[in-house]
Amino acid sequence: MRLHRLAKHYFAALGVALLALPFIVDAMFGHGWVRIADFALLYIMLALGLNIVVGYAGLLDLGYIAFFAVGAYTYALLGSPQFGLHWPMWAVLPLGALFACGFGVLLGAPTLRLRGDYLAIVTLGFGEIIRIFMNNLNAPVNITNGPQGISGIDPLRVADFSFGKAHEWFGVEFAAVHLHYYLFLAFTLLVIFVSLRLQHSRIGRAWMAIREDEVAASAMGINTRNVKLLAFAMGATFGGISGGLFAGFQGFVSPESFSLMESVMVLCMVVLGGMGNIAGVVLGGVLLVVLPEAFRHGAGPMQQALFGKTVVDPESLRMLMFGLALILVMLWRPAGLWPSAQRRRELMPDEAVAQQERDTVYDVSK
Amino acid sequence: MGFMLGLKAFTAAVLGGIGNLRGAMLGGVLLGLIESLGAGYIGDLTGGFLGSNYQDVFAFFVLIAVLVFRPSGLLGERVAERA
Repeated sequence: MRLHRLAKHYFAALGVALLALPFIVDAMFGHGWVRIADFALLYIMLALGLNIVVGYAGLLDLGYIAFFAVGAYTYALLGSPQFGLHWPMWAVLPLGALFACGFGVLLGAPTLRLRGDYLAIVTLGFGEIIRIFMNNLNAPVNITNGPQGISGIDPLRVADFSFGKAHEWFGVEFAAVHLHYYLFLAFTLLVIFVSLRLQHSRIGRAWMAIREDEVAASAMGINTRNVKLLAFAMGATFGGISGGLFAGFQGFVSPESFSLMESVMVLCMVVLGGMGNIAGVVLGGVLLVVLPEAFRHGAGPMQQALFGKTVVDPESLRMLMFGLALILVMLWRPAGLWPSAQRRRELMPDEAVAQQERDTVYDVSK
Repeated sequence: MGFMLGLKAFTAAVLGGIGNLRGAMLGGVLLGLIESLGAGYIGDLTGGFLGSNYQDVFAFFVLIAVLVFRPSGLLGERVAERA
């Protein structure tokens, strides 16, 4: 792939900015915000995984967080005092991804013939089933420790290098959140790379063909069963990796982190950012993690300054504004904030192009 | 609480077949019965391994099982291929 010279400079600048980001954020807003950046990266990974299922293949999945949960619990069970197992990260993360992949196929298999509302409710039910099992698998045999969750999970560690402790290189101190940031950034870039390569591959185009018209796609010789299963498996794998990283980062998992609301949140990132467009999904992920946090910190003091007292509780105001913002974006930009070129053409047709199409493509006499 | 209730309503409608009045009624009655009876007897059936806290799992599992064999619900007509 040959890059334009300008594009090369652009990518170099972007790379430096991404590497320097945790230090800038730390200096400007404090440690807590670096942590939020870490979470943003985790959510971006999730959103990119869901983007494969929803954005590329057009299969509405409302239980996506279940795969995140599978990845997280795999890591938690194999690397915590719960069973006394302390497997290394390089063994547990791929295993979590593999389990999530298996669950993806498990969900995909019975839903192959379903569409629209039917698919949505079944995926939603699947997500709930996983969560309820994790909530209740503490009796008669204690596996997941039930609603109390699993704590004391091993930090992410490669050989002797632990991401959970601060390290010092060249006189610069890298705190644990900084190290996690770089680790997550590497994984996110990997996921972006895979997504990009998939998008224009044979498989990616098959997914898009299914999204546009399943009957036509199967008439063109696409094996819709395998390709749909692959979409579920692929999306679930990304979710599983993200889940494992989450468990190692947080050190604690409980079924509460995997409620339906989380699935909806990830879906919002995909839809708000722009379905099927990687840059849009990344943007959606960043916005939906950072904005609510900024609101949480900003709403209280702002009200103090404006009215002299806190009129509305910032926590409830947060969800209110979130809903409002979502509606407004969907009204003004129905294809998302940064849609893919194709969706933009579909949802915001250019009149001149449409006219030309009507004149030349559909008119047999010309 | 209300959230789960709305979810169950949706589940019942889908079980019977979206867009079908009789289907919605049938779905509601069936889902309610299956869920309650299932929650009551699941402990005996599995020898105490699963308890009534798996009530919702039971409901969704029945839904998935039904939709596998009848992809448009119990009384739903075949969903038209996209217009």
